[in-house]
Parts: sequence; structure tokens; C-alpha cells
Amino acid sequence: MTDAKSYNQEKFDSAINQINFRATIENQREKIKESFLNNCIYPYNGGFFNLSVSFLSEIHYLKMTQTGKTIILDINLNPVEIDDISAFNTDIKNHYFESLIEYKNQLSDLTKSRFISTMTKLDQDVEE
Amino acid sequence: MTFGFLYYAHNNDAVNYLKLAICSILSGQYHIKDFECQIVTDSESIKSLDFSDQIILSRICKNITIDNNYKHKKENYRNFFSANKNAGKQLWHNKTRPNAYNDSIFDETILIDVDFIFQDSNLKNLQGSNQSIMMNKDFICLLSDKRVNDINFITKEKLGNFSIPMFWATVVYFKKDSFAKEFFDVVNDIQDNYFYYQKLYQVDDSSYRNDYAFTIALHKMNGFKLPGKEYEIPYKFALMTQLDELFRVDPSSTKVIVDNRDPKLPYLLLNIENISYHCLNKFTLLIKYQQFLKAYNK
Repeated sequence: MTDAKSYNQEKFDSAINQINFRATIENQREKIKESFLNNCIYPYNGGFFNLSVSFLSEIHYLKMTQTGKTIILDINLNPVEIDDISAFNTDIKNHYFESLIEYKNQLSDLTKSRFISTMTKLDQDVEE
Repeated sequence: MTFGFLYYAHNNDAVNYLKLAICSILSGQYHIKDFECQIVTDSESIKSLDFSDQIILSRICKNITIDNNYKHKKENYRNFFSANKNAGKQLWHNKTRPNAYNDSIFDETILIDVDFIFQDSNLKNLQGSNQSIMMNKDFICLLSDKRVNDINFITKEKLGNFSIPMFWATVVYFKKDSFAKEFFDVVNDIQDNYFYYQKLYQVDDSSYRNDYAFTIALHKMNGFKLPGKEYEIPYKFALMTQLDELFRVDPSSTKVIVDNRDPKLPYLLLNIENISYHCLNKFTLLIKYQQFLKAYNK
């Protein structure tokens, strides 16, 4: 009877550990996503732009059709003057892809983790 | 145009707000280049610091404004608690924040809570914004989306059950122009007549909260219409509630024990990285004060 009880307890503990692992990984994944979304807000000339593939395409199109100064709408629909559309296009592309690469690396580290201590970076030494 | 962060730190019997301000400034200086700040505090709070902490404070903050008249306004009380500590009702000296417009020495100011810990440099991007006033409306919850839905955790606070959505006065960006001046005049008026506004806006909380006063002021300034997205700071911060505990503080990441509000899985470990957070549990910040110094005091 005691053995059966301890066996059940073991199974229960294992299940709880598994739930804990799944819940932690899910929660951690969401926070990485939020960090990426914060990184995708790009400030320029007093306005803020939400970097996404569609926004990059829009700017790329403007770059092809216009030169020099242009005006675009930011996330609050305020018109913002862009001094040099070509330079702006390069800057936002670099910023977006740097953020995307960081996001990908963080997610890939997370999915490779097999322990909660690894995914929460608890096993890493404190930076000096 | 000068740009900087403005803190208000007046200690009470339960919490040493100046120590929290030191934690916040150290983390800010670590993540933001040319981090300029100003603290409005009082002589008693400064005396409460150890000699070594006073040296750290004078090193990290060159602009310390002493305001010993902070007790002149009507007393405000609030319950100070955490997961394992209840300090009961304590004096809450939060009524001087509406003076920020006059107190600030900067052209562009971010009025910020002392329990805000920087883990990114996003707030620096607000410099040069087109807006006169900006505040946060949404925050990042430490619980997972699924758990938030399961327990109906409120991620969008309101002033009352049937009232308008709340803006957080944790981080308030303003520039010195006529709109911001009028805004802070309105906040002061709301504070002076808080009982009336509490009833008018059906505010649930009996204590005076700057979040409420600032939200009401924004609503008034917007012609009694709900303020649009242009008043929102586009960068979200994470919100650590009073029930969450700090586990370990590293230079750009913090390990937190999150209260999962689930008897089967009561706590979750979470690594907050590259996201700044507002730590409502002030006791846990004070417990980890030495870790903050070790991690950020270079």
C-alpha cells in the first residue's frame, strides 16, 4: 500500500514538474515576444513607428518612388517628416532585422532548454 | 533641450523610498547613456541613509532638491503589504508629485516612480517626442496569457467598475509647454478637490492615487473624451505585483518568483530580460538592495 502510494506520489510529482516546465516555458516565451514588440517601436523625428514587414515594404516602395524628403504617418497617425527616405529605409531595416535575430536566438535558446534553471538562465553566472 | 528623469522619494515608517530610488537610478545609468536625474526628497529621508549610501546617492544624482514641506498636505494612508509581510496602513507621501512641472529642472522630463527598474533603454527614445504628455496605459503581466484569462486577472485597470480606463502615473513624459503646465494645474486642482472627483469618477480606492488624478486630468484636458493612443507611451513595462518576489538580480535580467494564483502550481520562476519593470512589492526590492548595488554599482 505504501509502495503504491509513493509510486502515485512520484507520478504526481513528475506530472507537477512537467506542468511547471510547460507553464514556465510558455510564460518565458510570451515575455520574449513582448520584449521583441517593444524593440520594434522605432522613434524618428518625434514620431514612433511600429516596425513590421508591411511597414518595411511601404517604406521600400516610397524609397523606389520618391527621393529626399517625404512625409509618413506614425503609429498615432501624426505626420512625420522623413529627411532622407533612403537612409531611413536602411536604418529601420537594420533595426528590425537585428531585433528579429535577437528574438530568434532567444526563442531558440528557450526551446533547447530542458530544465527550468536553464530557460530562466538561473544556472548562468552573474555578469561582472 | 535638456532631458532627464525626476524622482520623488519621501520615506515613511515602512519603506525607505530613497534606497528604492538608488536602485532605480543605478539600473537607469547602466542601461541609458548620459542618464540625467533629479530627486525631490526631504532631510529626514536623507538622514535615514547610511553614510555609504549617502555617498552613492551624491555620486549618482547631482540634482537633489530638498522639500521639507511635503507633510503640509492632508495625510494620505495606504496598506503596505507583500506576500509575506504586512506593514499595515502607513502614511503615503505621494501628494507632491503634481508639483513636478515646477520642480523639474529639465525641458523634457520623465516623472518616474522609485520602484521602476530599468532593463532596457527604451524610455530614452521619448526624448524629442511630438507629444506634450505621455503615460502608460497597458503593462506586461508576469502571468501567462492563459492564466490571465483563466482567473480573469485585470490587465487593463479602471478607476472604478463603471469608470474610465486608468493610465499609470508610474512613467509620465512631459515637456515644458503650455499644455503640460495646464495639465499639472488640473492635477493639482483634482488633488485639492479629490473627494468630489472621487465621487464623480466612481473611484473605488479610498486613498489618493496619482494614477487616478493624472487619468482624470487627462480626461478633462481631452475635453471629457477618452484620451487616444497619442497619450500612450508606446513602450510597455512589466508589472510585478505585491505578491511576486525578486529571486535574483543580475545586470540586465531579473529572476522573479511569480505568484501564479493556482493552488496546484502556486509559484513560477520567470526571467525578466530586456524589459523594464515596475515592482509594486517594495519590501522585496529593499531585501535585494545589496544585490542591486553589486549588480549595477560599477
